[in-house]
Amino acid sequence: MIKHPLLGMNHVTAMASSPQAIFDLMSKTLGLHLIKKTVNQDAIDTYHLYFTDDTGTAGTDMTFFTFPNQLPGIRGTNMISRVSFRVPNDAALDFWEDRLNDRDIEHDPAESQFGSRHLNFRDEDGQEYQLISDENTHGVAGGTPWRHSDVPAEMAILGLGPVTVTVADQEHMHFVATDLMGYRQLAADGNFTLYETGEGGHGAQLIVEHRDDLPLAVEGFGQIHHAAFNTEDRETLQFWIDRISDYRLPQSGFVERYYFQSEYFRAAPQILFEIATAGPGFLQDETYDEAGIHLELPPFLEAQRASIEAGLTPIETRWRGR
Amino acid sequence: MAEIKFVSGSPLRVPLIVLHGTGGSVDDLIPIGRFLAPGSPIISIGAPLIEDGQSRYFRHLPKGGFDLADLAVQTDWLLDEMSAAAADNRVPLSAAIVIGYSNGANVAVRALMTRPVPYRTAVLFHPMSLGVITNFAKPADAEVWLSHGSRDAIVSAANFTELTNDLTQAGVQTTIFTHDQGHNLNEDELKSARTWLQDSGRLHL
Repeated sequence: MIKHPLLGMNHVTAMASSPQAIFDLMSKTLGLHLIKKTVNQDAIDTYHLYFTDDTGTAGTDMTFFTFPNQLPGIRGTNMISRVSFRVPNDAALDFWEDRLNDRDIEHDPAESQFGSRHLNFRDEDGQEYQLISDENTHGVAGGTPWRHSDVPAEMAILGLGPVTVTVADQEHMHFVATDLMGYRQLAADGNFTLYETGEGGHGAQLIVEHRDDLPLAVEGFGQIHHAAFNTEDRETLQFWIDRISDYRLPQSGFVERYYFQSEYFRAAPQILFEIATAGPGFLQDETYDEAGIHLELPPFLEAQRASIEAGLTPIETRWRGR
Repeated sequence: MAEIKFVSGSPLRVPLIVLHGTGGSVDDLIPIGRFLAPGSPIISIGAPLIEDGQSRYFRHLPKGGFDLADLAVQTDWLLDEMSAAAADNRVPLSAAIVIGYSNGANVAVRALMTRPVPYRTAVLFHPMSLGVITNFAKPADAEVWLSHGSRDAIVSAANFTELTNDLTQAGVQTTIFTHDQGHNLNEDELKSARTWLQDSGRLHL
C-alpha cells in the first residue's frame, strides 16, 4: 500500500512554436483561462504560459514553453504522445466537433475507447490533443470553466483527462506505472493499456501505448515536454521524492516552482514525469484580473524584469469571450 | 584543502563535474562547462596538492613516475568530494557528466575503468594513460569523448593508444577527436565535444 497515493493529473507541459498562436487556440478556441503568463525558470528567454480552469485548479492545467529557435519535434516512440481534455458528456463532444470544424482545426472522426467517446485533433505544430467525453466517467471531479470564455458553460472543458505515453518497452513502463506510481491496470485494447489511481476516472488515468515499430521520437515543438501528477502538499511530495530515490530512477530532487513544488524524474527513456503539489496556486502574486495580462515573474527573477521583457516577443493576451 | 565551486543550473539537467589540469585552478573549466552545456549545473573541484609549485590531483614518485598508491588515495578523496558537493548543492550525482582536462581527465578516466564511480559519461581533453590496467571495473553503459593533439609533447601517440585500448577492454564506448596541435584546447575540439554531448541524450534527467 502506498502511503500517499497520487491523486491524478496535475498538469501537462508542452512545447509550441508561437506563443500568440497557442494563446489563440487555448483561450479563444478551447476556452481555457491563461492564468499565468511567465517565463521558463531555467530559460528566461522562453515564455511559460499556463492555461487552466477559472481559478487554476490543479488537474486542469495545460502549460506551454515557446523556446525561440526550437526545431519541430519528430513523432515516434518513447514520447508522451497525447494530452486529453474532459468535456461533460457526448452532446458536448458533438458541440466541439462543430466548433473545431468552424475554426478549421484538423481532427479525426469521434470514436470510442475504454467505454468513452473521444475526438482526436491537432494544431499547426502537429501537437496531438484529444477531447474526451465524461458521459460514463467516475471519480476525480473536474474544475470550473473560465467565466470569460465564449464556450457555453454546459459544454466547457473541465480539466485534463488521461495522458497517453507511447513506449517501445511496455514491460518497463507497466512496472513504473504500477509498482512505482501505484496506478492499477483497468483494461487493455490492442496496443493501448488504461491505468488509474486514487478515486479514478478521467482525471486520474494514464494510457500506455506500446509501439516498438516506430523510430525514436525526437524532442521539438509540437510535442509534450513532461506530464505532472498531483500530490497534496510538501510533505506528500517528500514521500514521493524518497520513493523515487529508492527506485533509483534519475530525479531532480525537490524543486521550488513558486506556484507549486515539484520533483522531476526520468520514468523511461525520453519520458519525463513530474510530481507536483496541488498548491499554493497561481493567484498569490497577482489578482484574477491581472492574471495572464501582466508578465508575472517569481521573486527571484523580478530583479531582471527589464532584460527579460526585452528578450520576449510581445503577445496580445487581453481577450475575453464574454 | 581544495576549493570547490558550484554554478547553479536547471534542475532538469544533470550536473557537470569539472576537473582542471596541472597548475590550474578551480575557475579554469567553469567557462568551458558553460560552453559545452549551457544551463547545466557545474561542480568544480580544485586539485588538492601542490608539487613543485603546481596544483595536481595526485603525486609523482620522488624519482619520477606516477605514485599509483597516492593516486588511489586521492581518487577516493575526489569521489568523496563529488558526493559531498552534490549533496550540499542538491544536485543528483547519479548521471553526472565529468569534464576533465589533462591531469583532471587522467584521474577521472582511470577511476572510471578501475572502480565504481557515480558517472558513466565523460569529456576528456588530452588525457593520458597512467599505466596499463589489470583490474578492470566494467562500467555499464559508459561513453567517453576524448581528444589528442598529434604534436603533444606530454602525451605520445603510443601512450594515447594505450589509454584507448584500456577503454575498449573496459567496455567503454569511445569517440576520439584529434588535432594537429599540442596539449592545448582549440575551438574545433570544444565544438566537437559540445555536439557530442548534445547528441548523447545524457545532458537531461
